[in-house]
Amino acid sequence: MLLQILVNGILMGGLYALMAIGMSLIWGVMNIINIAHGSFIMLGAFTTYWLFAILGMDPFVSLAFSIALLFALGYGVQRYLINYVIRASAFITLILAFGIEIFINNAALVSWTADIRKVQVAYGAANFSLGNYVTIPTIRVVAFLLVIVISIAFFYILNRTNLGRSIRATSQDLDAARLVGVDVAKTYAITFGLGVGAAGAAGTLWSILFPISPIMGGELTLKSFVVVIIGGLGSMLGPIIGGLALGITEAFGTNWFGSTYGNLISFTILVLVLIIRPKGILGGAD
Amino acid sequence: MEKKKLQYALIGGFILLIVVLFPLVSNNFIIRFGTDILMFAIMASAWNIIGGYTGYASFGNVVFFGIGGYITAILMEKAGMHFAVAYLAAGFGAALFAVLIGLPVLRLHGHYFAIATLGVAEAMKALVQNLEITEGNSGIYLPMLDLSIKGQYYFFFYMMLGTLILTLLLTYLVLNAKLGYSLIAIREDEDAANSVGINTTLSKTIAFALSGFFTGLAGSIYAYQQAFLKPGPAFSVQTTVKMIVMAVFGGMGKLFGPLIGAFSIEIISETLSNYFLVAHTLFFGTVVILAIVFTPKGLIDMITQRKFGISYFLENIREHRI
Amino acid sequence: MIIMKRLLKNFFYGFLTIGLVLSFGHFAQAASKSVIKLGCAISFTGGESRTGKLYRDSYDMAVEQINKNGGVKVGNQTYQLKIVYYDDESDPTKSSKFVEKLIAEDKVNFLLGPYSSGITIPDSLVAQRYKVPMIEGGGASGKIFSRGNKYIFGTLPPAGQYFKSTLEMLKTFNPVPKTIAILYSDDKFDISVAEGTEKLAKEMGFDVALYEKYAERATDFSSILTKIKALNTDVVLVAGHTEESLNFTQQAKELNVNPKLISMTVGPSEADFRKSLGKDAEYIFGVASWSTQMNFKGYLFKDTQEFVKEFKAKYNYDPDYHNASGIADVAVFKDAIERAGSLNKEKVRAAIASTKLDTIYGTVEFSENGQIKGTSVALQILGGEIYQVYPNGAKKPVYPFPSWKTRK
Repeated sequence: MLLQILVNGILMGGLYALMAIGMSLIWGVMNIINIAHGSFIMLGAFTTYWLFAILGMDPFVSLAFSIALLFALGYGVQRYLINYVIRASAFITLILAFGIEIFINNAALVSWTADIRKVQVAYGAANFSLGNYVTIPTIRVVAFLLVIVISIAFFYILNRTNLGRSIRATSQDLDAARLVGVDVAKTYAITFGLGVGAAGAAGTLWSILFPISPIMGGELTLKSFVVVIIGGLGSMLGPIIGGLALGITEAFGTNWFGSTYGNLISFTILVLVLIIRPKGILGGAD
Repeated sequence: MEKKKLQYALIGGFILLIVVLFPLVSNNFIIRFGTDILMFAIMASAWNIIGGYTGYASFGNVVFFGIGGYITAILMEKAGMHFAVAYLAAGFGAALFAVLIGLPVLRLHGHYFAIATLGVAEAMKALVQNLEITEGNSGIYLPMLDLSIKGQYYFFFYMMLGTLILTLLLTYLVLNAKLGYSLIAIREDEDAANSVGINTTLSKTIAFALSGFFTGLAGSIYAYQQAFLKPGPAFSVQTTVKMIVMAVFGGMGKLFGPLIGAFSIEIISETLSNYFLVAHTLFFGTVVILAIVFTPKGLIDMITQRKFGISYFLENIREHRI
Repeated sequence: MIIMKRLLKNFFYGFLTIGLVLSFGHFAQAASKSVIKLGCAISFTGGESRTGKLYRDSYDMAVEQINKNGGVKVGNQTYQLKIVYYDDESDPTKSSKFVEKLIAEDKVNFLLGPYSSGITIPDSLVAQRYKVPMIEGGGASGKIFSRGNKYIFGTLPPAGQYFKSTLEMLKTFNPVPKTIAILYSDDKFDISVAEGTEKLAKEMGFDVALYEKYAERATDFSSILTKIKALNTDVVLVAGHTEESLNFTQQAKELNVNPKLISMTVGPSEADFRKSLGKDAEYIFGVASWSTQMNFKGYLFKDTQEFVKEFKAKYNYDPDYHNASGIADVAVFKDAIERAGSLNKEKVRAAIASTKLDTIYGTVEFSENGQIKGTSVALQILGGEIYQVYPNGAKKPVYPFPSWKTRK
């Protein structure tokens, strides 16, 4: 049973990591806390849902669409909205993101109603067994692998491409980056697009595993916060470490103390990590 | 100079008079609406002390609201105490909590402080949901105020009004004392403040405690007015966000900014929900977005500088875009 | 002085504008005399908006039906019914504020309830303060009725007895299942369900092997399911909400947990649940105070079957007990107002308290504390439809569940 709990925790952690990776990128590079992150995850989930419901498209095919669509959306939001206040105080971007969150959630609510929906694929609850003790849900394993793929892709983009160099330069010193000819506005927009695109991917996977509704975003934003903080900013490994740490502690914690203690455990860890190691478990660069 | 002060005092007195007399000529709902505005004005002003003046963006101020409410509920319902006792206990209890939590958390800066306070509030909500004495997630009743209907409305309105005046008055006094300068020094450059001999830890903690104190008082009155509390709504992140939006919308770091913010935001959202049954929150989101983009310095900046119109908006955008 | 004048002028205009906005409600009040206004602050947006809609649909349909068939007769005069709605954003503070607005500004005659116990309580306190009767169909928590509030009436039955019919049904199986797991969300209603069920189960000789609480709106049940699998309980009873029931069922399949029976309070009876889970919803049991298979003589509609047909035609989904309870709320108002022969709030309140009315929801009779007397029935999803299986089932219950792996 302990082994099963560990597996549950690790797999849930993978999903948490995928949810948080986009938020971590945007926060790390642009110093924006994207409160609307959960709403973007919701949009990703609905993209998959509608493609499935109308065209019968498989979620793993529509994954590409939800990433692309959300990337474009994120690019636009940054370029034509957040960009106008980017140099005002950090509160301002925070509140703007909050306004965007209300807008997205309620636009979704008005157009799709609050009905609960589910992407009903035949393999949604597929599983396989290891020995007699451990049952492993297949989709969660796939989600886990996908997190690793996306992390590697991000790592590659940030470290091995010109775009990545621009992003890193901008995050370290905005004025210097501009002096050496980086188009800062565009770089920011692409970064935001990438972060939101990752949220779209998380949404697609979420929609296979859980029922979705326009008001699902808030909880997910909070979870993503916790993961980003525990893992620390500034590295692509951070969200994975944070996600796993959260997933495993929650799994064991709720098993020992009871299920109502899940949030108490995660947020206590959050506060403790902040107080003891403000830069996260990995203690990445500032 | 003297003349100007006199003018301000006159205008202030005039407005106060209107506010004090306003319930006498209004129906119950408008008094209740006014009570809500005052409550948010208290909370936004209290947030302003730590967020606006000191520059520490607390994202968990609702925790003081919830604690104030629950202290009141427990003292009145379980210990049978009088509201006056519970009210004071709520304020001081919230302030004490602010000191305890502030000592470790105020060492953090920027976003980290914001998230830590958010975490404290969420953890507290989860704790209250699991405690026996708070009756868990199912919520707790309070005794109802034994007055005529009109009397109840007057009572809560003037309690809120009194608390708001206390909040603004104390904030004003603190700002003009040495502590006020310490806080602003901390906001501008904490290291420099430290090096010129300001006890930054003490100043920050006091500011946080004051913020908690007033928010706790508001929570106490709220709990008594509702006569029922549930952890979810009492510790809702949305309430914190509302305080911040109001403070920013009105003008952060200005004494009357949050007050103006609370007033205008509540009126806007009430009007919208009168006309649009479902889409009002959507329009509210739009208003927040537009306000932030065009007037990031708050309404009070517009009012004091008397700048209106397109050119002011464009100036703001030019100043903050890349 | 010029500055001051200008400032004063600005303030003057400011107050004028605000005054105009606030007084808008007054102008809007001038309505015709022969209308009885029912006020309702309910969730159009926010966390409860989905279930809020179920009640709104019913309220609207009942009112339409009454108005079509001659309205409400008080003495010699007939009145049309009209509902004044506000969106409470699923926030109890807003909800109680809007109830005050309904009473003070819109001058409604009576109140219809919101959805969920946590929002109903503050609303019911406002109703009590103003002595305006409120009938609600969306809060079953005993807490609502525990304070001697004489102005609140509820049409969902007491939580503690919810699983009684299911437990009785278990006794009829061969072999009789022994061990039971009771899971419940930590809101008041579900706690009451769980406490009542545990007591009943022990009295009836079952072994309650697991009794566990989870957080309201939880999405991940892998930890609880792992425990159930380890304990290998025969029966799993879940008291929660639709989203939780959906997640629980899907994850039971993911983790290949195979109890002999799963029954849930909220979820299986709703069309959304079956649509979302498709084949995986098969064989799941539910409990409800009402089901579409019942047939009661109606008050507004001919009988239950007639109502179900008209409801489906109008809204394009299967009604469930939320909807039926909502219909009963409006029906009770019409009946009570007509019996009282007056719009006087005290007289109508007394009439509601002595209600004995046949509706499509069953016979409505209130206990001393204002909550409906009633029981519940066991349902099961068979072939994609929900059937009443105990007592007097339309179909025989399928027991035990075929395991997930053996299903087609």
